[in-house]
Amino acid sequence: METHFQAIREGQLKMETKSIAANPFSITKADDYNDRQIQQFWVDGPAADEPVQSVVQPKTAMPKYLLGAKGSGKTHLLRFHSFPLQKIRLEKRQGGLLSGVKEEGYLGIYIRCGGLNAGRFAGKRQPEDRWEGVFAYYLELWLTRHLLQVVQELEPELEKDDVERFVREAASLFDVSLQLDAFSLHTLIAAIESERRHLDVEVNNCVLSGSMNVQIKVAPGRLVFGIPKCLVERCPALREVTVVYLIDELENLSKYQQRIINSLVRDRELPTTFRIGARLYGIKTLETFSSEEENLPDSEFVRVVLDEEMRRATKRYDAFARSMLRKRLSEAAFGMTVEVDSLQRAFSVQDETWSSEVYLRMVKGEVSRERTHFRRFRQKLRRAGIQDEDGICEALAQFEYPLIEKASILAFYRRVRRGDEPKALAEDIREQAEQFMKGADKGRRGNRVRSIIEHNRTDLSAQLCRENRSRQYYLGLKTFIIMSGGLPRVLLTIMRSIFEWAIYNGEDPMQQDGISIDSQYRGVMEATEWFFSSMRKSGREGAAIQVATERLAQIFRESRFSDLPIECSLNTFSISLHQLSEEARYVLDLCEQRSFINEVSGGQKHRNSKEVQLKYQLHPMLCPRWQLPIGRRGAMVLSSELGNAVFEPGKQDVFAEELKQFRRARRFALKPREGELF
Amino acid sequence: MSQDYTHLYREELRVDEDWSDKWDIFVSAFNGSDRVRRVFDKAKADKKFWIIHEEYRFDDHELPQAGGFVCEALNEEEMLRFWESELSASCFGVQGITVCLDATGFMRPQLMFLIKLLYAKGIRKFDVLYSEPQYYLDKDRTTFAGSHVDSVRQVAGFEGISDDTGSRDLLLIGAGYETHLISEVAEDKEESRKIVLLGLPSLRPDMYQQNAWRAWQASDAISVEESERYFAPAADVFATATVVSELVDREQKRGNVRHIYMAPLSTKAQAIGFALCFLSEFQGANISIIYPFTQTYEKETSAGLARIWKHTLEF
Repeated sequence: METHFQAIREGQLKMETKSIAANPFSITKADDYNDRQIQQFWVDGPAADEPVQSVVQPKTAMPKYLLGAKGSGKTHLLRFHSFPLQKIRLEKRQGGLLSGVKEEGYLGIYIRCGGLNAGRFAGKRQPEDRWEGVFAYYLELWLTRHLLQVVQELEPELEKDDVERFVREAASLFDVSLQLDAFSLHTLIAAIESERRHLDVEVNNCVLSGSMNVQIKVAPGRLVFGIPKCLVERCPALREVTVVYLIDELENLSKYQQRIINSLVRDRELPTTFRIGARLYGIKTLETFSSEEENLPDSEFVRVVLDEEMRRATKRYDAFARSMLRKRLSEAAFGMTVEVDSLQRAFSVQDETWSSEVYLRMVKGEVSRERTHFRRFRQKLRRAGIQDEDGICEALAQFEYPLIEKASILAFYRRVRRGDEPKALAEDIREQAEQFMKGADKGRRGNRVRSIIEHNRTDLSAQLCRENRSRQYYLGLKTFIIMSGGLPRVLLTIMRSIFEWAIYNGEDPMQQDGISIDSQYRGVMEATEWFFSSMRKSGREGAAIQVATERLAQIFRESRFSDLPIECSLNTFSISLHQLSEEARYVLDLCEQRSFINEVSGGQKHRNSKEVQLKYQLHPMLCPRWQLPIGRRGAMVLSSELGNAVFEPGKQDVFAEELKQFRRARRFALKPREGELF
Repeated sequence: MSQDYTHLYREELRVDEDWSDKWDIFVSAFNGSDRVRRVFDKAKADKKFWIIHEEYRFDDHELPQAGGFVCEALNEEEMLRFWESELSASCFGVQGITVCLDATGFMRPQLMFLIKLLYAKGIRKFDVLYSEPQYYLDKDRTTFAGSHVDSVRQVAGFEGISDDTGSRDLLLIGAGYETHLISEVAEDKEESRKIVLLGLPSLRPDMYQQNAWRAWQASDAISVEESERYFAPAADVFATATVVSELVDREQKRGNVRHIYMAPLSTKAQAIGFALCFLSEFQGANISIIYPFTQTYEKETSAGLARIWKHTLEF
């Protein structure tokens, strides 16, 4: 019988894990995980051997704001440090929960601002200063209730007398007596909960009753700081422990509500500290109620922007990403070990070097003369009045290597404008192409074809795809990691989409080259659309973000697919902020806050605020939407006219004209046109 | 324990016949559709009121000649001002006063708040009309609300108490045609488990497929399995209220739910069903109605008048 039940349990486990194994990346959000799954799928990182505490540092007194875009891992990090996860980590440990907490050195009290439904603490014909007092009191009770529930879990290991003394002292913090029947944690929690529910009812009903019958029974901070103090003083086992309030989703609070939180941060008292998670755009104010002072980074708090850190430390993020994905696969593969490079090998890739047969297939084996790039080239030669187009084309033709032909054409365009004799130039380029193909020019400088292949290969490849109506592919694990731009959830979303297609197509993701190019293509396209539609803000501002991003991408696209690209692999721009209108600056800020563009270090900032030049990259996850490169190389300078046209939503006509001019300037012509250089 | 609301009185009013009903007060929300205007003209009442929602962005020449109460956009509490300025003298304390609302042109939050207001002021029995169109002008591509959601928040009067004892929130979405509204609400409560309520039977035969298709397009935000889809008739307030009651009861019995959010994004009839259920059963509970508020709304989205339903709400 026992064997029978054992078999049933194993079967159920396999069924459950099989449903996970069907797509090991189906869950992408921390919120969709329960506590055990957070622990199960946790990966220390960014580097595989880097302790996770180095990011959150729960024991240190200085408050920390963990900022980042959606999917940067804020909730994951905060929840990992919460008491329920501490409990899971410590449950197998000998010595009990209390000693484990003592060893970890902190108690993590996790709360989500979303759960407060803070929007109801506004309007309803009540003045804002009334709401300030009510919300501050409500928050005090809310945080305290969470803390006391955690203490209640530790209660079995605490001395009874200590607990009673603690409860007495905690109750005495109230300005108005709580009238407890007994000095137990249970009654204290019940009293606080009763008080909080009373507030709920009054707040919810005041719109119709016209008034709020609320008596504020404790000053702000008195419980938030006072109860942890009582705790460590009355319970010797917790003497060295820091109480960390892990406050997530700060963006859900209004400005005045954030001032209340800021005031707590400013006025904090040991053993309490704060770790606050918020979206990049989520901080509405740093003001406090302390004499109108503002909290300053590195003074009252430390500011960490998670995805920025990830993007900066590319190797570390790459290692972390691979560990994270491998862990998911291992958990899904019935506990089998997944080799370090299994996932890498699973993705089919194609040879994208200059000599790849992929390009010959793209042009469908047509003779050079009939290829689209040569037909257009001949047209442009005619328009430019250049004679002997057949001779020039013949010189530049390399039947087996369409990419070399493209590079040769670009080399021709660049040089002939400087006055080189066309036919001789073509012959010279041919010579250089052949030297390059044989490798005979290695160690020597000045080979234009080599230089173009080294710098512009991906752009020329993209042009070939477009000219021949082939798909632009983004393939391979390394590509997806780069594309995620430091956002683990984005990477998981890419993987989820790709795996869904692979499963649908009957592919085996665990086999070498098991995931086809087609599945990767479809998955990436789905993921890029998801990013474009889900990362933006709601409302008019969301539309402004999308419009600006579209326009920016069009500029980059025009450059990429033009005769004379302004820079290689262009997805980055720099701009002088003072040259932008107020509206344009506002929209640019919105785009950055929502991670549609990322600021790149290396922009030039001057002390004189009128000469601030910043550099931004289009988020790599958006690039496939417009067949743009994902790696960052060159950057273009946006003029004030073009910058305003891009970022001011109402300037559609101006933008259209700017784009036209930009396009014209990038077209091959023998003489430079006025205003063609941006 | 769930409640069955289907015993409440529901009747079809014939479009081409005179109605026997006569009310003391008739309130409708003005919009560009023929069905709203025809019903307003046809209804017999001592006093009739137009609500003019700013979301419709009417030009002056488009407004009804008799005028109406202009309701500030995004603000359901405006119904309080409407009550104070127009209704209270007529309604408050009057025994047996008969009130009828035509829900068809209303913004859902304002409609629900007005229902709550009547309830709170002691009017515990009143009629609500809902008229079905022949078809929506752009079929499955019909948009009603503007594309820009100002905020997702609780509807005033339908806020629940906050309870952190469960492990996860639940979001019950009455899914309509508008993928972006479904996505906004689902993303706002992205940590919650989701269940979807589709309108079936739909208003017209092909509308279910259109509805289901649009809801599927929001599937990334919803992350819902096939088993988490439920159905309630699109035009039936009481059947909807019954299904909502059953679903909430079931979830509460399962336990471990921190807060239940309900988002009625489908027909007005379903929105009323949500409101009826809330006012009858969920006041003071950890259950809220939330809504994605938009600055604008299309004036005219449908053509024709197929049927008119009269639901008598009783509390």
